[in-house]
Amino acid sequence: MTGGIEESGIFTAIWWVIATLTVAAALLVVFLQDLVKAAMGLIGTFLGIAGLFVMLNAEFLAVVQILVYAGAVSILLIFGIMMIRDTQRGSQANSLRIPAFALGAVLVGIITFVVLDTQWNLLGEAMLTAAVQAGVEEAFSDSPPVLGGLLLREFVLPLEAAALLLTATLVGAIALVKGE
Amino acid sequence: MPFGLGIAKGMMVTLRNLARKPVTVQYPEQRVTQNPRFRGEDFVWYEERCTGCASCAKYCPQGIIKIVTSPSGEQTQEGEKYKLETFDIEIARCMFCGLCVEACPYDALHMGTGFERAMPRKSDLVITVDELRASAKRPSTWFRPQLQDRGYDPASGEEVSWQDAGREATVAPTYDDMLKRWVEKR
Amino acid sequence: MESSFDKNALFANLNDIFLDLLPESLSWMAYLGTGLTIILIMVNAVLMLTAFGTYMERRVLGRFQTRLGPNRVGPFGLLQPLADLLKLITKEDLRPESADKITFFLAPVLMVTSMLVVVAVVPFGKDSFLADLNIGVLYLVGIPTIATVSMFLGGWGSGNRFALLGAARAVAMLISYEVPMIVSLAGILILAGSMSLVDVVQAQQIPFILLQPIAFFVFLVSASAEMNRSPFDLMEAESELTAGFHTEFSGMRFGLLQLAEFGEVVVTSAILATLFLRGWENPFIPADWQQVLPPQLWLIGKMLFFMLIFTWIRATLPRMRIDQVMAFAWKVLFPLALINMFVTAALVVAWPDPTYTQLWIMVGVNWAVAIGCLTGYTLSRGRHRQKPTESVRLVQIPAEVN
Repeated sequence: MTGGIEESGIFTAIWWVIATLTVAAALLVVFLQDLVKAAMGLIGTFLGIAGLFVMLNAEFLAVVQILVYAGAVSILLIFGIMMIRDTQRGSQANSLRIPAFALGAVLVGIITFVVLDTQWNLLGEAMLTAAVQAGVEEAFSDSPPVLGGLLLREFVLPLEAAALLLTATLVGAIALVKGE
Repeated sequence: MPFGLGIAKGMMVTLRNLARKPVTVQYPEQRVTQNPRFRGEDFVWYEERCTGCASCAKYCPQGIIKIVTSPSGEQTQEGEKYKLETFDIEIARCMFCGLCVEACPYDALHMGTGFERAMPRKSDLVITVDELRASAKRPSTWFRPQLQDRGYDPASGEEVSWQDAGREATVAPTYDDMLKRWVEKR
Repeated sequence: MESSFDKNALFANLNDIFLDLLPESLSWMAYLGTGLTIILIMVNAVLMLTAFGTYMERRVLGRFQTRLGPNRVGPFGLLQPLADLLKLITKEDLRPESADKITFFLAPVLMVTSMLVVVAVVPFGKDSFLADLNIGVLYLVGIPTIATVSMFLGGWGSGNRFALLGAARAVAMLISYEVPMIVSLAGILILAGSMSLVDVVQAQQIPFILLQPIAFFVFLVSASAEMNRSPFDLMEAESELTAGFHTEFSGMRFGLLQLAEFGEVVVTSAILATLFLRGWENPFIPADWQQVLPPQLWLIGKMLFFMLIFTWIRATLPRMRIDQVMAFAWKVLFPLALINMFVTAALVVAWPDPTYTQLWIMVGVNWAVAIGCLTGYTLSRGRHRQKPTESVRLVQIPAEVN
């Protein structure tokens, strides 16, 4: 969090580049008709988000994002798209265009209001001592020991519930395949 | 028997191969020596024995031997030799089966031992009669037990004269005998 | 971003050189210049090693098969990679009409990129690396997943049903082998206590190849599978699927795919050397021969050793079938990796800060567990095989038939 690179202009420049690429990829996902190209846009979005995570000092999350999203989830999506014969035209617009647009505009308005209105800086402008600063950094940091500790102490119930859910999915998939 | 033992033994074999001398023959500096019975691309043709009967051309499954003869006018008796004007063997389509060699009643045509007849143009892949006349007479011993029983090896470089190349009785015939072979048989 | 100048003396020195050269207003370019210079050096090193690695592999593969490798092109055939490059460049770059333009273009690019990006984390010396991420080990296994995606995109974008099928098979194999790969690294992470590669190298008082034989075996096999290398190279089984996902690529696109494939061998050898053989230090137990060779040469020597091991495996083993491959991953490698993780965790809980002798006891325990697993696997397979002979009975045929 300290260090001279963050306030420099090059940091902002790189941030703007990555953010623009991410949003452009997301727009490609929404507006392209060819499903496979849209999936590739989605992969680009995931990679851009990973880059943004790195800029936010959350490197672990960035790599896990690439590993899980850009690696596994995208393959799953592309496998699913492969099952569809006619991927060139994708999903056509139908008569529900206007209501969908209206709903989307309302959603965008709500999200924009929430983003602008939230107090992102939880600590405010207070001047903290170095020890408290270090403690805060430690508690909110992204490092694997901290995350591991959190997962196995405070959040152990969601962890076990997720594991149970994944096991159920695996067993269900095997049962589906073997049942034929 | 533990699980990986087969794999481990295989890897040891490969490792030992590193120490063995490679068996590669570095062409064109070195050449592999052929078996004496190897059916190669050259042909060995003895003009003294050949009568122009064109049995080889008739037997060839590909039909690549082209023989054009004319009466020679040398011996007007029956059983004389023809005068050979054209005797072309098209190596491009030859499959080196050796049926022409089997067919020749006078042991005039033998297989050769060469394998380096690659040419840049397909029209060059023909052996003409001049080339057959001029080539070195080192026949392969395939289908020629008279040469094989003598232990002849074409790779040794020695040539076989037309008297020794046939399967007649031990006495080698003279040229006049060859000219009159049908005449005398009557 | 954490300051790169603390641990990375190479970076700091180069940055100083650049700061001296540039005028004051352009001082931000010093950072960029330093980074780009180190990237240039490392990428060039990897690419040179890849090119001559292909030559070395062909020669060594030939000697394993008691024949000479290519020895015609230069002195001892040293210019063979150049000849391959020229051949691939001058070939026609065909693109099938039903191929998807962008996907067809992107697949080789993504594969080469994902291979080159991994080398950024590998430390070539105590303070010569590009970036020492504190999640280095996870980065190493996360980036090859992009290669998986690009393989599938290549197969899809070829517009060829067989390419798609080959790509689907290859992707299934690759994602199955990612799991044992990651779990086998968990043992190393528990022992080292940190995911940063520099810390892993420095935590190896005894090289991890001795401390974690099961993890080494599992990682070696999984990495072979990740790289589509023998015995897992059913992608290149020309008799089966006409070269799988790279059927339709020709010319330099194919060259890029081959570069990516062999580059992955080089990079995986670097990873293996760093994680298991103590990286840039000498791997032998008395650590006072350090100054014999510069650390970069130690690392490259170990990389060559592992590349030779991969070539040796390729020369010996035949190709596995897809169902054998999947069964092996899920039924053998994954349980082995889990057992390794549990044993290591138990040992580390027992001795959180092991002394040298306690480390050697850990070595003994790990090897005992490894041999126990091998014996167990052998016995389980042997029992399976003995059944048919027991079920054969002699039937007494009656003498008279009425």
